[in-house]
Amino acid sequence: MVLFGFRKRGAALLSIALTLTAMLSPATTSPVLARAKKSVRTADQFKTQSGLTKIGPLHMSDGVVLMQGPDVVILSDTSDPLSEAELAGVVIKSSGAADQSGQGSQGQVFFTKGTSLPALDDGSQIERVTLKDGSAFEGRIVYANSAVVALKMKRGSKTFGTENVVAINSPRAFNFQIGKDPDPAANGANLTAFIPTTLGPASSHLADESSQLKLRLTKHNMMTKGVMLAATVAAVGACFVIPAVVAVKVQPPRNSNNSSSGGGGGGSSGGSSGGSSGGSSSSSSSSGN
Amino acid sequence: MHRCFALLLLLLLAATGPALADPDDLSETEERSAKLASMPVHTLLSPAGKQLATSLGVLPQLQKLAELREHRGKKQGEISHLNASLRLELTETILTTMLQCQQVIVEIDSEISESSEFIAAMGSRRDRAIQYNSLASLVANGIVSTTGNYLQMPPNMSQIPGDTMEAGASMLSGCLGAMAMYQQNGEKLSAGIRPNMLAKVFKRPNNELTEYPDIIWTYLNTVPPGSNQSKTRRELLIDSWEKLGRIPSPSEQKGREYTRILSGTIPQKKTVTINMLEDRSAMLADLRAIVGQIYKDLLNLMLVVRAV
Repeated sequence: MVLFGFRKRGAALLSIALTLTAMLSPATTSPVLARAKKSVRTADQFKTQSGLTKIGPLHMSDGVVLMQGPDVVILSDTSDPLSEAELAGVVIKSSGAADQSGQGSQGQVFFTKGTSLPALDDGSQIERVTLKDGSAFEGRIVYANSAVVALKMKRGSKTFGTENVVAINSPRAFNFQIGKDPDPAANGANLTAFIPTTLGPASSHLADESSQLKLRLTKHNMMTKGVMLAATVAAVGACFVIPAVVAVKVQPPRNSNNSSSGGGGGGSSGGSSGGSSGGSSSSSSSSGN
Repeated sequence: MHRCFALLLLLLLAATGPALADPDDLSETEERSAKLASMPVHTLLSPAGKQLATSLGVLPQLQKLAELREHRGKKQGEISHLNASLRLELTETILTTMLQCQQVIVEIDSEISESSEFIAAMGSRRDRAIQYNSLASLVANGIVSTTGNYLQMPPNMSQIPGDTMEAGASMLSGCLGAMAMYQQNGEKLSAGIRPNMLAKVFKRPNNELTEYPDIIWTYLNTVPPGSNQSKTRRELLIDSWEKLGRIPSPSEQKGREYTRILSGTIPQKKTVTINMLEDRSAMLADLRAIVGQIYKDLLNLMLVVRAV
């Protein structure tokens, strides 16, 4: 059992090391990365700008796809110089580049960041990587570039070279095809079509947000109410209890008349106990002072 | 008596005067139809109507219809068939545009109604919280403080417990006051991504439900006729929101983020507030008003079709 645990931990560490190696040292001479470099050169052909109308559940009638090397960036508004990338990712594989501009090319792109990425993927869907030998692995893709894809599964994680990957099914992965002819709808630019590869529904999490908000508003949180009530009762109670405790601990000063009469009583009664009466009278005089 | 009669006459003139004098009044009368029929088509259309006719691509049909009107007396039988088909085509286009406009308005209305619903629900929760706070203040200031004062009265003369109690009451009042200020803004809720009709206006990604028909989108992205500026209706709308302080300048990072929050295109982490929903609701109402302007131009087109 212990050995098995070590082996599992070792496999996980190896995967992490592989991923880190792929991320940090692209100049490594491993066969995977050598082939990855080759695929990057292929992707270099896409120094192009094309239009798009939609990607998954998102409509972007004025959107633009920019491809530079393996990097893909989608902007929703090109007229805005400060426009943030709606989606940014990498070309995992590509084929059929018709010319240097990339027109007519197709391939697969995997989006890794961007302000609109949560609209494509809420992080709950299973992603699948299918290899050339027919084996398929399911989990969540934690890292992807044009060379490697790292998948985190229930039992450890694995890293695959993209040349061994036949298909990726994920809400973040799209098959793309750049149009050959300029499209009037995209102001004369070539349109890029993005075909979803997701296993589940593409935008199921977008539709029910309103009902979730309604649920949050109508939910009566008894726990919070109870805590608030207890805090109020405790605060008010403290206002009464603390003074009461103070009142008990700090006795109010005795009345001077009472103390003198007490002293006098002691004096009158105490012929036999003169020492004590003398003591009490001295204490009364000191309290009087 | 004469003065009363003169006043009555003046009131009558004031009541009827603007209706007769207003050139934008599109209420149809027989006289108006007859007047329109005798005028050339390009003069019948208002500048906005002409712009819409160009966007819809119906100007050639209108011209053709006008030509048919000129030859109406000569070849009655041959022209009437073409005339009817042209009228049908124009009516179809106008009706379709009306329905597309209605589709956008319905979606905007449903979003306004949803925002109002959330505002009402959050507002009622805020009011309830403030009510509880007031009750707690009453307990702190009223009961605790009064008891503290009572303890300090000469017959009971307990200075230290009385002072302690008053100090506690003051502290409670202070805490409750700070809490009331926080509660005044209402809750801060979280929500996921759900683009609304403002998304495309801000050129953010939208979804299928919030897509605009082409003609409406073209209308929003054209410069209104007679405008001194070269800004489109959409840009003018955004400018007005900025001037009114509904949105920070979109050229700033804060403004860009707020427009994304307003249009529901990013996950909202504790950003759904009553203020934000009120801004969204008001902006959607403004957008609805602009889209509704198309009806005016469509009526102008329809009147021309009827007149020629």
